[in-house]
Amino acid sequence: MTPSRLRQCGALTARLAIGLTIGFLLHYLLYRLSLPVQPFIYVAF
Amino acid sequence: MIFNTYWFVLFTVVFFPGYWLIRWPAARGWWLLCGCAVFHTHFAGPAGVVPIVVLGALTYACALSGNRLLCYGAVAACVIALVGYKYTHFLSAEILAAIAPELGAKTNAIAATWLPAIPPLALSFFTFEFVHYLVDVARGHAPIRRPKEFALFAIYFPSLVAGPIKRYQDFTAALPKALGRVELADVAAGAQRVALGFCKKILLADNLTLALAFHEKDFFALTAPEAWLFLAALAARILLDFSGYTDIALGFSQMLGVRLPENFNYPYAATGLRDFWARWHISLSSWIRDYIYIPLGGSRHGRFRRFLNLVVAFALCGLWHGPAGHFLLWGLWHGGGLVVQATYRTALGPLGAKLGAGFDRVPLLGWLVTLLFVAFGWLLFFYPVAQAWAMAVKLLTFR
Amino acid sequence: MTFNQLKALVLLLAIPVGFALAVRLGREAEGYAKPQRFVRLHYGISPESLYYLPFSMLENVALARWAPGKTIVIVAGNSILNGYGQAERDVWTLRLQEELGDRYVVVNLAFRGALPYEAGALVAESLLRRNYPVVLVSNTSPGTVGRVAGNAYGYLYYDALYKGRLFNHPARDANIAEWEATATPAVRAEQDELRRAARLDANLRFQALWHHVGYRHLFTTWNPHTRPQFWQARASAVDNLPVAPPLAERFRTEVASELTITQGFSVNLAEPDGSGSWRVLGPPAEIVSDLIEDMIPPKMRRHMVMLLTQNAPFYRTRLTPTELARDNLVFSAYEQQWRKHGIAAHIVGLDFTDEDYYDRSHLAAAGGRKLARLTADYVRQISPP
Repeated sequence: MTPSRLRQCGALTARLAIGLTIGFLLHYLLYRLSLPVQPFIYVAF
Repeated sequence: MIFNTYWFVLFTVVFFPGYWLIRWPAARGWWLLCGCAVFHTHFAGPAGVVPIVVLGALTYACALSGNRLLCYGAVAACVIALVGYKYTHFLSAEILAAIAPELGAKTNAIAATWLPAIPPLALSFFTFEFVHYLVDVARGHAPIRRPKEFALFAIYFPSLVAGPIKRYQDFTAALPKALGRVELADVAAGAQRVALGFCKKILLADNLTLALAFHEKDFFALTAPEAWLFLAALAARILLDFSGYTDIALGFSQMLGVRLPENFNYPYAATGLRDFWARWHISLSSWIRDYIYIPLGGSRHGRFRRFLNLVVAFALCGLWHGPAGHFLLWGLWHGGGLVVQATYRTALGPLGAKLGAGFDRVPLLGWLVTLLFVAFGWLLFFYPVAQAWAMAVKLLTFR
Repeated sequence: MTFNQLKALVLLLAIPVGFALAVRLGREAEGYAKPQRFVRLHYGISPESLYYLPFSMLENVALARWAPGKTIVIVAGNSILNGYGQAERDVWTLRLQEELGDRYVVVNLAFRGALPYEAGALVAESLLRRNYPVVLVSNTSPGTVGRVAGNAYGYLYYDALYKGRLFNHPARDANIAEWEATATPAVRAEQDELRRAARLDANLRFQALWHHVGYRHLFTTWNPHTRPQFWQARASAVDNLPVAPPLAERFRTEVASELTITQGFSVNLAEPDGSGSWRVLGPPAEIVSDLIEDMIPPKMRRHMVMLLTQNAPFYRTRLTPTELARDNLVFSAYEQQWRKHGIAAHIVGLDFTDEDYYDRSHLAAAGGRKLARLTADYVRQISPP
């Protein structure tokens, strides 16, 4: 495998990992919203 | 709450796929407008929507007329609405009552009968965008002709609640492209930005808020290192909360194909106060520069007027955050700090020159002083003046 | 397609995949996630420390020690039945288990501050609906029933409701709808959010997964009860609920306010009858009756033991004779009120001593032992071994 192809594979793997992480994060977010969340400070202004 | 609600989760699940699936730009524009209207109505309620619709209609019509006088009249109407909704209680109960107690109390009582308990959602942000639009049109920029386009500028949901304060020229240029085609790369980058924003907000800022709320009750019983840690947490919390919000807003907007202006550029890396304000809440500081500081005369009328304009602009910036003395003092703290930064080299004579040279040679020193200055400012921002003062004394005396 | 587009596409496709994986894990966790070596809900595993146990976790705890042939005794109610004032090893439900023997499985699901029919009580309803042999033990004071929704533990009602765990009881739905219609917009908005959360969770199972993670691995929300190391897995949290000090040190603080509360148990529920005695006020009794009827499905009632828990003698002996007469009348009347609906109600604590109490209402270990003996009899009466 050429270095540039290796880099491309690495980039795609990184995107895959980031995407999977975001998916998990969204699921976690749904749980976290059920706890008492704090309003955004600047919404009050 | 807004972005961190189940309602918003369901809204995104319906709205975004619809936006991406609609290929016809006009229909996509209508879908976006419907989404924005639903979002605004849900969070602001009818009582919050009506004043914005009225002000928006007035702004649109006056700008369209091309008449400068009408434009400035509409600016006055926007400012009066903002002052009326947000500052009447403060002006009557605090300012007027200090001069004429009876009149102040009477005015406050009358105001309480017709003012809602809380001002319409995001009124300050609406006002700033409308004023920018009207002033730019009065200065000769072309107004937005199509009502749909203006409505989208006015109630664009990603930036509706707390900015960034956008400029209509950039927005109207970006909108047709977004309605025509949304790039996959933009959706992916937007999703990453949204995720980053939620991490900042939920994982970091909210935990800091909970800890700060618990420890502020016994702040004066904390040890000196704990008190300094509290100050650091206070400074970190507002950055993470607000920049987290901004990341979410910018991310969602990018997922629609529209790039909104950045609001933060590593503000706590600033090596001077001027540098800090070029990095912190950029859309607000640039708005204040363009629509308050420069119209007041900016730096065109000598040093004294320049500094006076600076202090007035920052006092107004402080008051924009809310009708309270501590916000005003926070603004003055920063305005005064900027004046000191601009004058100390000459005002302090050889000592000032030496100090300046020292800051130039060791940027880390400037960074540290700026960070401390900003952090102590946050005490004024979050707490009543007397409490902020007592907290600052405790921190500085290491008790 | 350019390489940049391909990268974006991979990332965007991975998001739903990651989310679906999390949902899958949530579904699995729902089947097994539960606190181990469970005695009761202490600060480390309770909403007070932002650990909002999902309904499935409570069910898993309830069923953990059950085997065919055994009756599950769910103890719901408030801090009194939670064992506040007793060390973990002395919690009264451990004594109740000993009293009842192996044919029963006692599970303490009492939440501090809970109403007589919410939170743990709904677990009993769910198990009964699934035909498990169940007895529900709960407690209250005269005049208190409340709604399953709208309180601190209302989230459990929606959680159970949207997962199809509860009996179909239209009167309950109607009562809650009627209450909401007259509530403030803020309360209505809050209830709407709770419902949205529960509906989403019924499909996506985020509560089960992340509560399991919080219990076993890492908790992510700061709270005063588990500070400073709030991130530690809740499995390592110890039961540090307060324990009654020696008798000489009890009943020392807030005596006046606690006495006012003791008087308040009956003050709004009875009026002088004109002949120097008292009669029970009609409207509050009707409200209680309506709420029992609306909140508790008829099928549940004959599986319930409702304890009307009396205050400590330290305070009751400080009531005037007139107040004491009113107190006795009200407790008896409301005991009858629950019985009229087919629920085995009993006043407890009348013959207890100050030694048995930790404070005005909570029991010390000695009181817990007495309560266990009494309750064991009441349980056997409605569900013989």
